[in-house]
Amino acid sequence: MKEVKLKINGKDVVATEGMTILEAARKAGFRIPTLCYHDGLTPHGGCRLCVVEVKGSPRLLTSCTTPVADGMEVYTDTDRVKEARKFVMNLIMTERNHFCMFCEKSGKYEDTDCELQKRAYEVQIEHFPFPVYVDKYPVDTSSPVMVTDHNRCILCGRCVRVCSEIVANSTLDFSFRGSKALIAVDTGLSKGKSSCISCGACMQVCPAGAIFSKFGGYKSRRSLCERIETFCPICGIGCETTNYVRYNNIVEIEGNGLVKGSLDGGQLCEKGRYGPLMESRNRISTPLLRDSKGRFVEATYEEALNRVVQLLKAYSPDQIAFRTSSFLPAEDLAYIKEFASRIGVKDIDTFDGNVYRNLSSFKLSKGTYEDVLNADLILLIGGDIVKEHSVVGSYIRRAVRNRGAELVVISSIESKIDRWAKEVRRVAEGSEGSLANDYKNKIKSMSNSIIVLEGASLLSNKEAIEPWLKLAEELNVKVMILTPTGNSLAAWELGISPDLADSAGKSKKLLFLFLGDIDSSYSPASIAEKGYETIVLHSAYIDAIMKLSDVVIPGKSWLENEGTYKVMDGKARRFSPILKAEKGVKSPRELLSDLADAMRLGSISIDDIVRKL
Amino acid sequence: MAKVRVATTWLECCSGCHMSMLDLDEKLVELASKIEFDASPITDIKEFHPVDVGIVEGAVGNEEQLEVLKKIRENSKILVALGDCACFGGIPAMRNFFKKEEVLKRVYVETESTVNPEKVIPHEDVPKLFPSVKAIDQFVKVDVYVPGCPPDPKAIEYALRELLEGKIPVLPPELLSYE
Ligand code: SF4
Ligand code: SF4
Ligand code: SF4
Ligand code: SF4
Ligand code: FES
Repeated sequence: MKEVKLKINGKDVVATEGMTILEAARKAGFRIPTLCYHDGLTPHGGCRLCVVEVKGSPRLLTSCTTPVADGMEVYTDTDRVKEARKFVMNLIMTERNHFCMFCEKSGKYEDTDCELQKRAYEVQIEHFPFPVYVDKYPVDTSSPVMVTDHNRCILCGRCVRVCSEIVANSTLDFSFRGSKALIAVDTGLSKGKSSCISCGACMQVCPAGAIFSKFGGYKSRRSLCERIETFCPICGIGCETTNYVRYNNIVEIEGNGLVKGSLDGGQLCEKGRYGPLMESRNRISTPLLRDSKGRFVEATYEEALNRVVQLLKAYSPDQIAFRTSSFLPAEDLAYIKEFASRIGVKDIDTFDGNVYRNLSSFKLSKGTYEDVLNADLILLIGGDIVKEHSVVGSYIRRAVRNRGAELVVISSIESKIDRWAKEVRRVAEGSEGSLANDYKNKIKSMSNSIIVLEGASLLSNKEAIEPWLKLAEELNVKVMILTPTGNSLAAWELGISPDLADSAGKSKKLLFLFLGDIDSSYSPASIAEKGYETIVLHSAYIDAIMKLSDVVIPGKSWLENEGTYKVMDGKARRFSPILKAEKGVKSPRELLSDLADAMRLGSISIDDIVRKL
Repeated sequence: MAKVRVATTWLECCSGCHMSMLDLDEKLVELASKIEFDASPITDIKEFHPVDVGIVEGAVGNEEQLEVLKKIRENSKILVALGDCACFGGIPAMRNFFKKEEVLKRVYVETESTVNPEKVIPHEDVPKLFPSVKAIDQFVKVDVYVPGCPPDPKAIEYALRELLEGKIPVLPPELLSYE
């Protein structure tokens, strides 16, 4: 790229062609305050806080939108510039309600959560020199997850840009003009009734207190929180997160940064951003044992362990089954497997084990996120991608919107992705496969097709999925498998799957159940159907299966449990716990290690196994 | 050296800014050797006399407050707006988003703790309410602003020390506060 030589505040600076003054100045170490500008978004030039003086230009120029030019002389901090910035800030602060003392984001200079307020402190606003508007603007609380208070909105347009450029959902826009201007949701709806998918990206980028979370709002300033960077293992995408925690409560979860050029743009989905904050289930707080009259009685951990030891000895290994959620860290999964094999139990499986079993006999060419972005035909088969794998939904929308890709949705349920599709085929659940051959010629006629298979119920249903896999194999089309949980892939690679031939036909009497928290493949009803004689349950939350269990042992939730995950992109990642578990509450590997001691099984080591992932 | 004479008053406010001033703690003792308080809620002197510095907490929401404000302005060489209510309107200005009649009805008739079966809204013996609450610089000239709800004692100290040195203080970002 061509070099551009300019002077900033008298210093010689070398930039590259196409850079803005702001970028060049930042690179050279000069700070220019900004508001409507955001690193991950297209510059907008709306707020005018970033103005600079450029020799030869009678007007001040917005540095965030003005490209550098050879020989340019830029001054970022003259009195004229400072005065203009203060004037701009005064206008912004008095245009709507910026009485900070009753605002969610307000704080002092070092610890405010409000970028606008911080900028106001910097230009030393200490009173409003203009009369303050007292018009009332709407407050929209209809979204299930966030509040939009237009009284605090400065019309910087960051929310509009993130929703359109990154999330590619285009829900937001500007409406009306002048003092009546308002951020519009689908040209006049409330957020709760709109096309909004509750991803919260707009909330994350809002530099003022205009969009805030219903769950974190008014809980704590960030500076008072512990900050934990990790990732979200709820679905197979594994978005990176920054978690703000105070007194062992999550205050806020953010996507990591909205980094310029990163593929996902630092997004999260509703489940990832708000799910843990919306938690309403009750925890299992103490071990429970069923007494001779069939009632639960509270027990100590040791009593519960003893009962489990008795039960594991009372049944023969081929009468015992282990079931686990692939939402657990690899360390737990590996330990469960090793423990089972030590006591001779062969029937061990995850709830979504069928997914990879169904795939294993096909030679598939794996589609990547880039393949979705570059496709000209996207066949999206399965459940509701917006609910289950929302961030991949944004790649699909980008392909459709920016490149005119054709989207075909084949699914039994309605989804907010449907409005982007050229064709939506509503089919009965389980019969998705019957349509595969309809698309053979279409795929052949396109140069870049991808089949996206989504949803635990589709992926674990052989009949529904095989025709698509056959088609993909035959035509050598890229396939993207959206795995149900953060560790589905690791569970499969660890070999947690029953030797079906070996266990077939033998009815199981004792079930040892390890539940992850949220696993779309787990179904209490289908476990109940099997009619086990005895169930040992290790789980964090009270749910329907507890009633059928005979021994209940409290477990860590995923938020409390450290460990390794291997998400869809195939990279192993370490999850750092966000919350601390109550004393004595165990992960599956801790529980099984105690059991192994009690049963004198000798030490079980899983380090090597996990390292290979 | 003659002591600097200071008067203070509170208008529509919560008195938190005066409390924050008292939070200067032992520094007050030191400042007291250089400052003499005249009319002030602290000294309980009610009549204003000519002073070097007048400090006003609170916004203006009724005619009595405006009168007090004018008096302290007339008597002060330098007038300081102390706290968000005086500087911006602050919490009292929240009522600006409602009509005066709505506000009066809410306060005198509707609040959960009110017993007022006749639904009388007093209009005698109480100062007349203005349609909206405003910062004090909407009525009189202000020389120094120390915002904050309340201002940090450090900000008040900074302002007082600058004044004692004969300077007009402008608070740095770290001492500014709108909350
Ligand atoms: S949005 Fe920021 S500047 Fe506006 S009231 Fe809230 S804290 Fe103050
Ligand atoms: S939550 Fe997401 S989809 Fe909804 S308006 Fe904001 S950015 Fe757009
Ligand atoms: S809602 Fe926030 S991000 Fe959107 S325009 Fe208003 S201030 Fe900017
Ligand atoms: S898309 Fe998946 S990994 Fe990303 S935030 Fe949502 S649930 Fe978590
Ligand atoms: S940051 Fe450049 S105009 Fe807003």
